[in-house]
Amino acid sequence: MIAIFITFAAHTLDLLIDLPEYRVMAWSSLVSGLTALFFIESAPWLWTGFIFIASFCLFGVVGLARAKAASGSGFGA
Amino acid sequence: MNGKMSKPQDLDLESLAQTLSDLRRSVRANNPVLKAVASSTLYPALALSLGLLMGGYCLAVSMLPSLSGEGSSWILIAALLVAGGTVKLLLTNRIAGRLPNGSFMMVLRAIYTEERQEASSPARRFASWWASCSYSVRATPGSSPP
Repeated sequence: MIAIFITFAAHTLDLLIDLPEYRVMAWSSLVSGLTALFFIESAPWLWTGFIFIASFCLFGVVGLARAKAASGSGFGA
Repeated sequence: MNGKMSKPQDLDLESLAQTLSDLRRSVRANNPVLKAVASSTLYPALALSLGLLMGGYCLAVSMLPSLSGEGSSWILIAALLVAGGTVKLLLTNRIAGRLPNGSFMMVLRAIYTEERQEASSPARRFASWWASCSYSVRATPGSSPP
């Protein structure tokens, strides 16, 4: 449920500042939260870990890649 | 006649409202304070490390149930989340402090003031519709004051 709430916050931030990592976090937390909603009772730790990795790590990877691309284009300009 | 006269005015008002809405959206998307704060690489680095730490711990507890005490693992996860949130608040404060005239409250204002303006847009639409109605009534020759 928290992951689904994170979805709304990340989508709102994405609308405000238009950064791709927030869009990725919003969709990944929505998908992982909705998927885990049906299976979390059978293995709570496994699905909680899945949600953390899917949302936070994807946000981190995309954010770092975006920053790297931005700094690369900045040097080129 | 009156209906025909009010149609171009309605169209003008609609196009003006649409232009204003587009302008507001583009200004919001390029808000320099929010953009400068949110585009920092510290947030993705923090999220990546926190996600790996907490995800790895959850998966480890899932595979080795002996690691999990009586509710102590959930307390650890909650403590990690609170610590991560606190670090994020401190980071935001520090990044905003580097901006000219920047502060944490300025970032909050940039987020929530725009939201409040957006939330009041139906009232503004009603006000503009009401103004257009009163304008079209005043514009009719019969209803003009002597």
